[in-house]
Amino acid sequence: MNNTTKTVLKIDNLSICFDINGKKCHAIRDLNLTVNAGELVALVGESGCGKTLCASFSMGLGPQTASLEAGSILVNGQDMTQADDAAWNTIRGKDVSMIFQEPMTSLNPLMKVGRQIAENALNRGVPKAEAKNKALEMIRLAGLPDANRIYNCYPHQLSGGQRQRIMICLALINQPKLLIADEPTTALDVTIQAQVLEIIREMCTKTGTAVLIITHDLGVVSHLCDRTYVMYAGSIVESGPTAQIIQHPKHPYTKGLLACLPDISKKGQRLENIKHSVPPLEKRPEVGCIYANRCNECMDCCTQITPQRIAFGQREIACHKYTLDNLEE
Amino acid sequence: MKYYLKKILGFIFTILLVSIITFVVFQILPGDPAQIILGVDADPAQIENLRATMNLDKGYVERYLIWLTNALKGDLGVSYRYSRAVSELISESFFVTSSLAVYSIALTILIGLPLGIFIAKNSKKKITTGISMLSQLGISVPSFCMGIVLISIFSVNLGWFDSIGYIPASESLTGWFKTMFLPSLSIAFGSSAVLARYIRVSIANQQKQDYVRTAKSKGLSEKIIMNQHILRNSLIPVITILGMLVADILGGSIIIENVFSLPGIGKLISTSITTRDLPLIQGLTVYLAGIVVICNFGVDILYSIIDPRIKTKR
Repeated sequence: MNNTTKTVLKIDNLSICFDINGKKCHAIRDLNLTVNAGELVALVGESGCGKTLCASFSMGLGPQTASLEAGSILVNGQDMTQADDAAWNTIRGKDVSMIFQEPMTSLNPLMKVGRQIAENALNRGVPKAEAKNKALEMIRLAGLPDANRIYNCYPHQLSGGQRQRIMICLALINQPKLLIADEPTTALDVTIQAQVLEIIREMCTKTGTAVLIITHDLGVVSHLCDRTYVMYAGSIVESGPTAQIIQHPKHPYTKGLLACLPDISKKGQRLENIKHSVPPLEKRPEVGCIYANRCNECMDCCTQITPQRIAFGQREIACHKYTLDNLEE
Repeated sequence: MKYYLKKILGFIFTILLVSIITFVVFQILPGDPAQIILGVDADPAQIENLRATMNLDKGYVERYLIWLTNALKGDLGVSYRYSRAVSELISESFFVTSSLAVYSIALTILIGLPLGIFIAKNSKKKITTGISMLSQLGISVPSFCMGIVLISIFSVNLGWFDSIGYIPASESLTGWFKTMFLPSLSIAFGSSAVLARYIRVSIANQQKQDYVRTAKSKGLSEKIIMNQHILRNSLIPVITILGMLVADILGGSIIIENVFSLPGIGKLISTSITTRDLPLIQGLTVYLAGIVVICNFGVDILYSIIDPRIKTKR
């Protein structure tokens, strides 16, 4: 870590296991991920590939049934790998915040939304009146009209988009170093999705907050994020600057994901899909490339040897198709 | 406003229905009230006479309508057995029963609520298993049985409380407090166990909700999350149970008043049934139905205080 770019989230060789019928099954295997201060990073992958699990562990909110087998999690330079709830509570909501996928249920139905936002500031010792003003200010920044009225609303009086904006206010009121947004727009109307993403980007740029956006939609991240991690079945298969990944995908999985996106040039054609689906935890191979059974460029070695990460330029890729030589050409 | 109008209409309908059912059931029961009042050896002509003054010679529908019109004027008739106005008899014993009910509900909440929260908070500790077994016991032992057990422990062996007798609050407040304690406790023992279980389940359900995860993501301590977020949400289903418990407690008081010889509505009901005292039974059932309906109304209001979602639905 040098002085110019500070790392706000650094996940090293993280492995997380679930115990299924006495057998340890990897949900996340040897995962590396860093988010630098002020950066917008995307974590992309299909449903069930471990994105949310990874995010929950970065907040200390992982399910109790999951166990951290190896690796480390550094949040804002602090090692949180073995941290308990009390230690997490000192940074949660202050240095690192999270927005969840379900805006409809993520707010307490019996508490005014304004109070729920202010509560996060109050918890950090901000006086009551000031916390309220801060909350009102956040509501205004989130582009919600008539902040005073919204402040006194209960969640059921607001729409999904409005509630997600409230969640954003709630997460950003303490100007955290890092915001983890777990599929923040999946549950919203298409018309609102772009707005909400734009608000996240705008508000975070203002406060200098780094964002880790978790999504299954490469289209969402293409114009928003500086860097992208592509995740498959618990491992990062490819990472690098978003523009490079979108324009020159290397890993067959990334190519597959991109081919699945609808595009005006593909008008009239049948939309691509990747055969099969993400294998369940207990059926994932211990050796070999985990993507082999779905890969249409699969070779003999793929099922026998686990591919290692190869770094070239700002990118990293884990696939037998590539060696340092053929990448640099 | 429309909401309350609907509630009040439902209220009237329920009470009307209850009075009709009691009336019909009483017609099916064997035994002639006039015969019971005058005795087995009475002159048939005398009985006929009495039947006429009691309107017993008229048709069922007509008799019901006479009762209804009088009841609407506030006249519930005259008790056959006591020869006194029914409303007077009820108001005399009302205070005993209502204070028994309030006392037991207060005890139920005082015992059940903290107990349920305690079990929910410490669900993984061993002590919880013991408490759960105790609450199982509380649910399965009927209140009159509990009453007898309490009498034998606290009155007979320890001598702390009198087993029977009633001291009105107007005479001595501490005396009233003491005489009502054992009867209330025998009712509250079972109902607080029920309440504690519902609270435990309700809290466990709420702990899985998404908003709890949001609260955790704010870095709030477990205590704050429980007190500020989970508890209030958990109370919503519990209020329903509380409403049902009120009806239960009123029913239970009939037996408990007999066990502890309290001069309440319960005592009045059991004597009125054995003497076929129709006006008294009719008056009492309508009265009790009214109380239960009012309690449910109160529960609805409590709901709207706790849950803002209900207000907008109106």
